Parts: sequence; structure tokens; C-alpha cells
Amino acid sequence: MTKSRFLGEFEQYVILAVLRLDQQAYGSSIRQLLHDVIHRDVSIGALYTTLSRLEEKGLVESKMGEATAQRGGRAKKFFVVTGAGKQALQQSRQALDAMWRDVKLAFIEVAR
Amino acid sequence: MNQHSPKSARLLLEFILPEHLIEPVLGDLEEEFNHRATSQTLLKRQLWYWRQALTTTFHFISHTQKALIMFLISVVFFGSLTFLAMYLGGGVGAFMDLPSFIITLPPALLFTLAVTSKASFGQAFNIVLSGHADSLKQVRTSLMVFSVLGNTSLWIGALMTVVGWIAIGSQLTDIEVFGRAFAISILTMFYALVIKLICYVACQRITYIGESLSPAE
Repeated sequence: MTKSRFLGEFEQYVILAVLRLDQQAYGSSIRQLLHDVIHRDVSIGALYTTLSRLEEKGLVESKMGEATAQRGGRAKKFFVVTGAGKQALQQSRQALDAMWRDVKLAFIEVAR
Repeated sequence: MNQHSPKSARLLLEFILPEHLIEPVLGDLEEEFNHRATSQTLLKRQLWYWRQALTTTFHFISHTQKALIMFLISVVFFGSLTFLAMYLGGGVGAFMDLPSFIITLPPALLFTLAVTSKASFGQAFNIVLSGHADSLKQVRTSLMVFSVLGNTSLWIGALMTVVGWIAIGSQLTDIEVFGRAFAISILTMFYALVIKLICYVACQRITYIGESLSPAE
């Protein structure tokens, strides 16, 4: 039996952002996407802390990209979600969906 | 016009971030800093950069500079206890004497610089503050710097105290001034002990850092 691991809310957002950006997920693009979609201005420190933690858990992988003049000659660090990361995301979603079903029924009863 | 992100904020990040994140984090910040040029003034962009640098520092300092934090806390703790003891022992003023300090620390520093080198001296402090050494040779040199500084301070402090006692003994005509003169003569020894203690802690820290290096390095 595989050990189930549930992700925190922000971890889910970050993994979803990496999945949506496909091969173009790096610090700035992830920050921008989170700002555009969920209107959350995440600091670069908070983002990299989470990405480092996810990488340590084996849920994302990274590789260094090309350096550009626009970045002061510094390279990008691209992230991709691993199979374990997708599985963890799926488990978290299923758990949340299951919990939401109950909350929805209770909410309707209160509304009546 | 070439507008740069704040250099001091970049240096802070280079000091705080783990080695493998310096390149991508500084690159991302530089990219966004330049991207914001179309909509924001330079001052606003620099404030934004500083906010990012400080929040990033907050996130990473406990991971990368834990040893430095503990070192600084121990120094502050030691300083506070000494200050309290001085306060309870009749007032801080009785322990302050600039001439005694001047004849203890600067000669010890000069002697240490003469025995080692300016580069070794800077490197020793850098290892203590950064918690990182590249080789065992650096560790040995840095240990020598603090060892020489601490021991020289101690010897100078003891010597100056003896000089003070001789001066008191040879010129004492009024017994009422003896107490004050004796207290001042002891102060050089007091300052020397403080310097020696700080050097001892620094040596222990460098030894600990050196233990992570293999003999081949």
C-alpha cells in the first residue's frame, strides 16, 4: 500500500501552476500565473520555499535553463511535476471533493 | 538608461539563499524588476525589490544561517549577562575606561595582523559569520588568527595590569585614591578576558565547521 500524502493549499496551487505552465514553469512565470488566476501576490521567497519542499518530497523536479540578458545574465530554474506529484495532487483533490460533498448538503439544509 | 536593482539587496540575498537558489531567485527578481520598468518608477521598483529580498530573507534565514543566528544569540546573551553583572556590581561606568581599552585591543589586533596576514584576518571573520570554509588550510589559518588575537590580548592585559600595579606602588601617597587606581589597573585584564572569551567561542565555531571537511580538502 502506498503511503498517502495530502498537500497543503498553497502546495496544490503551486503544483497546479507548474502543470498549467507545462515546460515554461519557473519562478516568475509561476508567480505571474498565481497572481492572474487566484489574485495572490506571492513573494519569491515563499514560492521557492514551497518549491524546494516539494522537490525534497519528490513531487516536482527542476533543471536549469538558459541565461538571458533580461535576467542580468542569470539562468532560469524550470520545474516539472513528477508522477508522485500528480498522484499526490489527485489524492488531495479526491479528499477535498469528498469533504465538499458533505458541506454542500449541510449548506443546502441550512439555506432551507 | 541602465537602471539596476539595489545592489545591497542582491548581496543580502546572495548571503542568505542556499547556493543552488541564488542564480534562479536573483534572475527572477531581475526579470520582474526590468518588466516593471514600463509601469512603475525606479523608486517603486526598488521598494518592491527590497520587499521581496526581506521576505525571502525571512523565509530562508533559519535554514541557511541557523548557526550564525545561534552564534549571534550566544554573543548577545553573553553581552547581556556581563552588562547585568556590571550594573549590579556598582554601575556600568566603573567598567568603562577608554585608555585601558585602547592599550588592550588595538595592540592585540596589530600583533595578530603582523603574525598572520590581512587576508587571513578577514577570512577568519568571514568563516565565523558565514559558517562556511573551503579547505582545512583555511580552517587552520583562521584558528591561528583567533588563537593569536585571544592570547595576545590576555598577555597584554596582564602585562598592563602589572604595569599599573607597579605605577600605583611607586607613586602611592594618598591611600584614598588607591581603590580607584587599582580598579582602573584591573580593567585592562577585564577587557583582555572578554576578548579572549569571544576568540575562544570563535575558535570552537571554526573547529566545528572544519569537522565537516575531509582531510583531503
